[in-house]
Amino acid sequence: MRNLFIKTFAGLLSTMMLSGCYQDIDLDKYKGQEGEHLLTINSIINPDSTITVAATKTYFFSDIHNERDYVRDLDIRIKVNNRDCGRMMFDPETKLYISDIKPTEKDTVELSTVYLDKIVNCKDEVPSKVRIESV
Amino acid sequence: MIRCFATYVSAMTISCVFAQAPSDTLPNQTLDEVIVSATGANRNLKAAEMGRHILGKEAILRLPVLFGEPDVIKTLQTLPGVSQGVEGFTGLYVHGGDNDQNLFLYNGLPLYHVSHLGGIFSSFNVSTIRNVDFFKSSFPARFGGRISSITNINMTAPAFERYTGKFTIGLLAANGYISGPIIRDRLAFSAAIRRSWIDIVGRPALAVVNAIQKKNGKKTIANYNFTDFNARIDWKLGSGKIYAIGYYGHDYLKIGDRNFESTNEIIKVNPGGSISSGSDGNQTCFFDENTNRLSWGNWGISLNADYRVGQGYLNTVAYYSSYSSHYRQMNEHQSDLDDDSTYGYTLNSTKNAIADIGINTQYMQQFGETYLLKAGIGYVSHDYHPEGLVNEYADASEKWSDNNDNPSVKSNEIFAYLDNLFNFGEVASLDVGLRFVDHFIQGKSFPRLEPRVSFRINLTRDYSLKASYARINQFVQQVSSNYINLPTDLWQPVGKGDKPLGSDQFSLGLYGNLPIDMYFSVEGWYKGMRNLVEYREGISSLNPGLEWDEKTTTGKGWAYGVDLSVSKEIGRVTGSVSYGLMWNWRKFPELNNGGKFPAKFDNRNKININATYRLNDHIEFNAGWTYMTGNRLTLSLYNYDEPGNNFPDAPSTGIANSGFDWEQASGLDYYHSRNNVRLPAYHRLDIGMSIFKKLKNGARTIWNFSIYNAYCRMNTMTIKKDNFVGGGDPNRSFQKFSLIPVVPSVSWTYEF
Repeated sequence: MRNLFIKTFAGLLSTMMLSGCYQDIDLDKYKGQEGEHLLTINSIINPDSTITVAATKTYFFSDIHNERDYVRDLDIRIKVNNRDCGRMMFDPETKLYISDIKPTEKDTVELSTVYLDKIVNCKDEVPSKVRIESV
Repeated sequence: MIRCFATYVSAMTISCVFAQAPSDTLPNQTLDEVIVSATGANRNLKAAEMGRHILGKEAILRLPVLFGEPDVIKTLQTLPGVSQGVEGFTGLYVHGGDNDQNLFLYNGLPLYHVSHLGGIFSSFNVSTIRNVDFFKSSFPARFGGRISSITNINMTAPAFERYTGKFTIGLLAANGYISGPIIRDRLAFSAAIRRSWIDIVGRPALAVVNAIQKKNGKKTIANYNFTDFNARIDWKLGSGKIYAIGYYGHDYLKIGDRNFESTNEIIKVNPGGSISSGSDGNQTCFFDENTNRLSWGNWGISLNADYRVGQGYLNTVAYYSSYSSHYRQMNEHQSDLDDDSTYGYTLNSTKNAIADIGINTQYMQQFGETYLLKAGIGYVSHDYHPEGLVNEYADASEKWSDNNDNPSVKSNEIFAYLDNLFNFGEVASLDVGLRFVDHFIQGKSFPRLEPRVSFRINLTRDYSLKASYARINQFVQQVSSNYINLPTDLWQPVGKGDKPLGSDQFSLGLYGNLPIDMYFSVEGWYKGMRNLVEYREGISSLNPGLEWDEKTTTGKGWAYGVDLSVSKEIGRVTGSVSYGLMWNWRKFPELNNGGKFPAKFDNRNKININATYRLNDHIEFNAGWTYMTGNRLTLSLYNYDEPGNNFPDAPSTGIANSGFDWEQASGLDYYHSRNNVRLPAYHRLDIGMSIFKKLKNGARTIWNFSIYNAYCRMNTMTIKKDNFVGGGDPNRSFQKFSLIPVVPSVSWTYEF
């Protein structure tokens, strides 16, 4: 009887300790609810560097995603300080949209395009240079 | 013959008329305290109030709970219209409200953040409780200050005749209660203390773990304990009584780790075979220690006076209540223990505190059988310390700190109310109240009028229809940046640019008696909430650069639903079945792109079934089943690619330009909207058994066995994204985290 009690207690304790855990969960039912193939315009703008943009589509996190889904036929326009600076060109080699525009500190850069009949735009201010005093 | 005539006017009051006393009746006979109790059926049918639940101590003790510790809040969580939040924690989300919108009064003493162990236990020691009076729909005019619920916890009066006591030993805590006369029939006291013993039991286990880890130069630091203490002294006077209450509840948690050099410690075998240890002199000793300390708690005292004035009854309460929480995160390091100049530390701490001093008095008089008047006034002084921040760094070369001065924000509050209860016999009753409150803070005044109305009409002898409306305001909110409501969440008063939180609630209900001593209630409700506070996007509590009231933004919320309950309170088998249906929404101009979004605890359906079967005088069985639509969570379901190696001038941090295969990275999170994912449905079964045994000396013992989550349903607490990269293609998946499996528990109680 005593052994049975000890075994039962040990079993319950082990169950408690081991079962607090992570398990996979299928969230595929949410696919499409938040809109698939959304366009993301991703750009890193530094002072004194040319403006470059990567235009890709979103993907569901748990899906297999082995290569980027580039969007190549966009008409992306650039405005710096509300002044139209022209269109960006798609570079097949790097698969990025490139330009020869170099903004400077505190410039306001705005990118805009039309995708699936909707206007997509983003706007930000170029940050100040950070001086690295020592390493 | 003495005729005793009692009229139900509230849970606290009866009127007695003695007429035609015979000549042998003893004059001036003082009766002991009389407790008049009514079944829920009678109360619900004949009173105008809605959404009120009076839970007796026995009902709380019967419910099988986690770790076998009876708990007031967990009992309230079983009611329809009340969401529990995260499993195992004492969250209380009433009619779509948040956890900070519940007023807890311990015999009139207001308390903040009433939980132990991060919320696993509530701070109320059930041994000291007579009953719990819970309001969630129509609020009497005497209550104010929280918009979602009022929980009035009534302490058991001390025993004036003889000493009584109760001692309980459970899995995590021990509890003692004693009560008795100091001067027989005049002065009596009660006192209770409860303390966890996790730290005492865990200390040897931790010592073993650290002994094993020592050779690797590691040490685990862990300590947790909670204590609560309650005391009450009652003094009977001729036409009333005075009593004082003291409450103290405190938690302390310390966790961390220490890394140190251990290889310098060498074992030497000396000539002759003796063993000694020491340093080889060639190695540098160092240590690196991280500790997180969290302490929180309330303490308070109140002085209550109840006495008769003419035909009326006067009750006055004066109190002091203090709450504080302190979180402290520290890293200490020293690269050479022989050189003090190599010592350095980093310290981050957050402190939040409130101190309230208040006094209120209420006059109550019954006029005939039809009209009861309640009127009162009060004053509260609040001293808030919304956010004390300390950020310090020091090493041999520099010392840096960025602290705020833990600013104090003082406010004053005055209130007055009038509550009129009309009772038109069996046919109808009406409760019309008006509360005026004015809150003065930072040079501003916020006067508010709060009308309260509830009406009942009997449709037949066994059915009644009720309707109610309540407006209520709240001048302090606890802003939470976590999924779980924690003591680190800061209580903040109305800020410079904010207005007080307010709500309007409408309810309509049908109540009735069913055969075999059962009764039911159906209540539909709608609640609108304005000036809710949340942190702005991307801002948390630890931003010393911003003032405490610059970090938040305000919005509105609305919730609506139906509460259905069927109960049986008499007989060998008792129990209840309740169902709650709810929609719960929020809208903030500066959050979620200004669009509406569901609240975290938008639990659409909730079912609770509780049953007790008393086999005989010695054995009782209990069971409870809970089902609830899952909570909501903000989760990024979609990702997008981050700049790869081909991106010019990409930062060198992260994976870009680092040589890492970007195809294996999970990309950047794309958040669509707030609370966009619903967790899987929550359900569990709890069962329990109590064995009562009477001893020859009149005392009795109680063995309680319970199993929490009997069929081991691993309910989902949260979901995370996992990106496993191991040789082949990356395996990306969503993973749910579950915490509490089946938990058996046992406790033993000795009562005398």
